Amino acid sequence: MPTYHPRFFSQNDFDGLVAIIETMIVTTDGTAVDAHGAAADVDRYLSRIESPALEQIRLAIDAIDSWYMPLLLNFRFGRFRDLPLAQRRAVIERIIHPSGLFKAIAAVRAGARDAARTLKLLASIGYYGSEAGIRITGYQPVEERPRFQALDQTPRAHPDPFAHSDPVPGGGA
Amino acid sequence: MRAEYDLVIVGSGAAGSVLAYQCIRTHPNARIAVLERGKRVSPRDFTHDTLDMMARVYKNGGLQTSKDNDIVFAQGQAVGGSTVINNAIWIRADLDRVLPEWERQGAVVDRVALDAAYAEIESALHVEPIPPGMANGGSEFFLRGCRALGIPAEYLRHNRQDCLGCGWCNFGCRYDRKTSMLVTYLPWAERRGVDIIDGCRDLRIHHRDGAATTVEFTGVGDAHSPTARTTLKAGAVAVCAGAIGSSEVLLRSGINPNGRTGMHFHALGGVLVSADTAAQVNGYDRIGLTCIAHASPDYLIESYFTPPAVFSLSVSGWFEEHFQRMCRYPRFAQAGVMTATDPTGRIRINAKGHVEIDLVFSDRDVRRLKDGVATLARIFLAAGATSVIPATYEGLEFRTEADLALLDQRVHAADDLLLGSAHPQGGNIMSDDPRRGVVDSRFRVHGFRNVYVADASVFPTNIKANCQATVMAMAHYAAGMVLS
Repeated sequence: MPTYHPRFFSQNDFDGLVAIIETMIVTTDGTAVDAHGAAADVDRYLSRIESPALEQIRLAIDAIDSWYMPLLLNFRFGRFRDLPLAQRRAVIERIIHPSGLFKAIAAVRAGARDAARTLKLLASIGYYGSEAGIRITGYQPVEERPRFQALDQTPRAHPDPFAHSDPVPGGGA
Repeated sequence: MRAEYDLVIVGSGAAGSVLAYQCIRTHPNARIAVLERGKRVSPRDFTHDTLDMMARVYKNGGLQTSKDNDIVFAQGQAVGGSTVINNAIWIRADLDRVLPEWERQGAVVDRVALDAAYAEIESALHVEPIPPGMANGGSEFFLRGCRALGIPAEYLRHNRQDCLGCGWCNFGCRYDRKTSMLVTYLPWAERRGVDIIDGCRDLRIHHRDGAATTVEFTGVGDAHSPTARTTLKAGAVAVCAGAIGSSEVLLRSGINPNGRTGMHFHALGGVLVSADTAAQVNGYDRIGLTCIAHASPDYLIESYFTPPAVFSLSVSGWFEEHFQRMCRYPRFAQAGVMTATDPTGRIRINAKGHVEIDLVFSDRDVRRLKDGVATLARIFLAAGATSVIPATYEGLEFRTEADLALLDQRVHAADDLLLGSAHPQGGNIMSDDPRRGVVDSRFRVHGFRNVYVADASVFPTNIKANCQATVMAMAHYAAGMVLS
């Protein structure tokens, strides 16, 4: 695995994000996704922006990787990332579709939905924003589209349409 | 940069750019500065990389949400504002409906002047109908469904010239074919002597005895290593930072006449619906937002498409189901249903010092969106879609008309939909009654001699259309009052 030093997440949270992406992006042929690379892209992106949402993202990752997870797995303590894939999936499924008290208390349910959406956001933009993820969708990059080869891609100039009809600067308003 | 300006404009988007240009046209000797929070990014540096561009040209990196996280507000933050990242769609507001509605709120706008403003800008930006040959492959599929159901639909008008159809309009046009403010009004204004200053953070308007005196900000520098504070003397200040940003600037500056600043915020927003066409339509190639269907006055339906990363967020489903859908990406067509909220929202600065967008889609709004989603699903099914997937939390899928009953069974509240808006409005609404509005009909903030607001935040009620055309026309119209 390539070395990457996270800028936005702590190393622990970054490792948790890698595990989340591995769990959420499920290829149908069983091919492993480059979750580490996708997580690194997400980390780089988040390190460049300012948003009140960043706090919630940190909280969501931290919560799932530590204190929230035991509540969802019958008080089994440990790290999300250390669980087998099937159990990780069970944790995320319980966040997506909470049951019992988690479902009954509206605020908890809403919080779980926010967390689920956050996980999908991070996993999806990380993976489907990456070169590998883009390719797997069948998207064809602009420069590879046959019709683009023949197009003049020179930036277009847009001259001021009133440059010659308006009063001359310095000539008085 | 000078130390003193006759006019300082805050914001370089659709409103600020047109205002700056119009003011310098009519007052060629005026000293005008445009201050922009985002950075100036050359189109040559735009990439076809979603995360890179979201970090560089989107407000909050694209992660700007309502207080309850239910609505994502997509806005630009760069020189050129949202015009850099919008779909370049040009729709005039229905002034026969809008202006009488505004007048009842105490906002009097000259219809003739506004019509003239639209016309002039349309000429300057080369507004024309989207050529069908440049529309993405899902557009004709969408129109086919509309025709089958007898729903009037058409190609929209846009401000692009010789578009190449790369499909990355929402991440900046690297070929300068979209006539955004970055490549039109701003350089035109600059050549006439307007100073454009980017990277202006933590901006405050200082005022005394009902008059703005100076504008202070931190910049220019990297976002995470701000340089020293800069103070400019200002003869007048026009705030054009958008429906959310303008309220923020005014509130942080203590400009809050009768406690109205940030009130009456509203939006045009809604939900995306994806349709599996069972054919290779390659919706990512050519223009994404192309057509409109006139199905109901309660909602708008516009066809749309976007590159994979953002598409992945709008397609419901989890785990392998989501992956399978993503693998069919070139076979999807997409469209959005938007409805107008009432002006009941509010922009605040919260205890942590963050901007708080307090807006919810009411039960009525959710009902309208559900009606719109059902209509859109029928359009796609009539066109031959094998599966229609609205952006819902529960991951609904319609394969037949009968499946539409799921909407009522599974969608009850705004939280059940994945909502977004690129058309926030209000917050500093226009009314000559100071108990109701923040600005008067001359765009001047009540109680201030030289502070103006001239963007979508002054719209008293929802224009129920994509905003940029009306924002530009209103800014053009405001120019004669701001620097008169």
